[in-house]
Amino acid sequence: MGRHNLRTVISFEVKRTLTKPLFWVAALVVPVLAVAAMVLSTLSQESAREGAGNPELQDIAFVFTDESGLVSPEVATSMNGTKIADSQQGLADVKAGTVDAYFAFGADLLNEPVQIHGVDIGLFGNSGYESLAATLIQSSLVAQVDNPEVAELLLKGPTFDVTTYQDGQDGKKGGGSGAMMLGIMFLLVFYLLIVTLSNRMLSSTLEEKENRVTEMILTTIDASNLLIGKIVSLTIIGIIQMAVIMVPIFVLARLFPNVLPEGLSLEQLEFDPQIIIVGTLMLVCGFVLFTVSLVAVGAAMPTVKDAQGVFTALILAVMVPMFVITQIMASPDSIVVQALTYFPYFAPMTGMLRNAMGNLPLWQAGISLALMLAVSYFMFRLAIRLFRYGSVEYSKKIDIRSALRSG
Amino acid sequence: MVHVEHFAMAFGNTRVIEDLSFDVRVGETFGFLGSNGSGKTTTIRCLLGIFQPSAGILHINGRPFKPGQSGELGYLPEERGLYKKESVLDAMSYFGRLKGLSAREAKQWSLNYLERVGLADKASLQLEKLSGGQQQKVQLGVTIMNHPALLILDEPAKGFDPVNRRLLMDIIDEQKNEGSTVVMVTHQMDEVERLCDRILLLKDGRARAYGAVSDVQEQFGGNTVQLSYEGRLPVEDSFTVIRDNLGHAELSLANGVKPSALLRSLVESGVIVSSFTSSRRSLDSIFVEVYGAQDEGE
Repeated sequence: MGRHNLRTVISFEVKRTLTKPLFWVAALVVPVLAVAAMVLSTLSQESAREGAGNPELQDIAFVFTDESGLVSPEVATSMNGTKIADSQQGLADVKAGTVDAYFAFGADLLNEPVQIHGVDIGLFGNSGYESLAATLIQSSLVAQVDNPEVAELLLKGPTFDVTTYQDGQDGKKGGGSGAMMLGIMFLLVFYLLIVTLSNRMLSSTLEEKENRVTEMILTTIDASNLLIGKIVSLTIIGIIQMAVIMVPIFVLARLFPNVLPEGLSLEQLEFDPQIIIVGTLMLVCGFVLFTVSLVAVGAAMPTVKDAQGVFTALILAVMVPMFVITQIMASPDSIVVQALTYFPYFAPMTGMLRNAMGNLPLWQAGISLALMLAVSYFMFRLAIRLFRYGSVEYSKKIDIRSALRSG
Repeated sequence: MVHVEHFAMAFGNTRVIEDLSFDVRVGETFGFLGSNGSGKTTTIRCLLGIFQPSAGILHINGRPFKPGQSGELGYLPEERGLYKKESVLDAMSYFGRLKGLSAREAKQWSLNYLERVGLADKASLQLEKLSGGQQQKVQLGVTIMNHPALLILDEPAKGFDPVNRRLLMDIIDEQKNEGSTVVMVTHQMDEVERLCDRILLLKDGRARAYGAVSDVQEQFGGNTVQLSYEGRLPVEDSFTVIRDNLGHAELSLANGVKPSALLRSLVESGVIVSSFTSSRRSLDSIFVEVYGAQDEGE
């Protein structure tokens, strides 16, 4: 009967969540925003590229003065530019609208900025002037190189493939940027789960109290089974929500690689088993800890409003490692980072970040995970006690000491 | 059906129930009576395993209650409600499934019940869209789903409008006729007198009286008389005054004293009696006698 009712609770909780339009609105907002951000980012990159070689920017008519002697008038002419001698004339031409831009190249290009004056053509368009001037000087310098390969290398720059080795000589490869990307994705998923599901976690037990259902329901299912059912259903909902968020992003990134920010591509992902296993365990344990903690808070408080203070503190606790992110990345052995690694509520984010950086030894991950599980179990037992005891304390906060003494 | 033996319950240093023992027999309607704070609800919660008792035995059908037996139980708690954001049918079906019905049975049972109480057209509405009275009807339906063998009703009429109170009484009668055992936690004495076979009066966590309704009435002075009179009531051992106001009095007769003997005695002592009615002592007056002073303080 107990197992049967566990399934009943899970199916009821999952079904009623998935049939609510608000769930889908909340779930779809993230991928829509992410895609919008990718598209905007791509547009801005395109805009910058256009500044470098796009025919539209090449249509920009410009004049320039050059005290350095490094800018080639021939190259400038091919880019629709004209060298002039009088800087005042260039500025006057821009103001009069007879040319689109005037670039003043000083004598010392290493230390003096290039002065750019142009007709205002909007945020993205204005940034094109900078790209155009940079391309002009770069192309002028390349034009002076006879070797075509050297010229191309100067224009495009070399590509790199970095391999590092852990612990000096043992030959074990360290995680590259692809492995780090994969590790960071666990962190991203955890963050999204907290953001999108935390309110649902909190209200999962508060709902029974606010609706005065607790007593009736406790005669049909054991409190521990009920709470397990709620936690399992939250996990299922979380998995569905992550699928709704991540799948469209991955599909889009696979079909249209250009939408990813410059320098990122799915091909870069490196599937390092240690990063995947530790990342998954950190994600699962962190999620369980956070869920049971919020379920316990919900069991102790009479209303969502009363629970807000503790709720906010818990959210902040989980996010604390982000305030010392540079220290976590640069000094994993510092006392602060070690403390964050082992304190259960700070551990998920710290552990996932260190795991992504490749600076989380397995033994430290093991201790951190064990501590998270131990606190999760304690919070789960506490939540059961509070939930059962809370059936008589519908309208006020529970005295936890009384609840623990109630047998 | 229900067996409670030497039950005690304390919250911290506060003792709520002390050495309470009683039985509820199969098929009877049992009144579990007491004033606010006397420990009635705590006893029910311990009986249903929601609280762990400090001491004693609390059995239903010969064993401690487990949620796995929930199909045999219909429980209407004092603090009650339903999932307000869910549809009527979904909420009822959920409880039906928790009580051991299949999804199809739970849905069918719910639809039949909604048809009976005139809410068939509300099945797909959210519960919060229903009026208070309509929600009470749904609550009653959830309580009696799966034809429970034991019905525990904690302050069943609390908050119910007259229509739903009538429905509740009909349902209790039906359940009784179908052989269910009913435990009513209440202080509505008219309901107790009409419905209950046996009662227990709980005061300060102890049984103040326990047994058949007539036995309890006997224990507190089985017969009473209501009279209208002129003159002055004599002080006698044969009766005690329950109420005396502006020539109208209610007297409780001592054991063995017949009403006719009392009437003769009053007339002989010079009291002019214009009306004289004999009856058994009401549970209401017993309740007032037991809890009167305490309730005034609450």
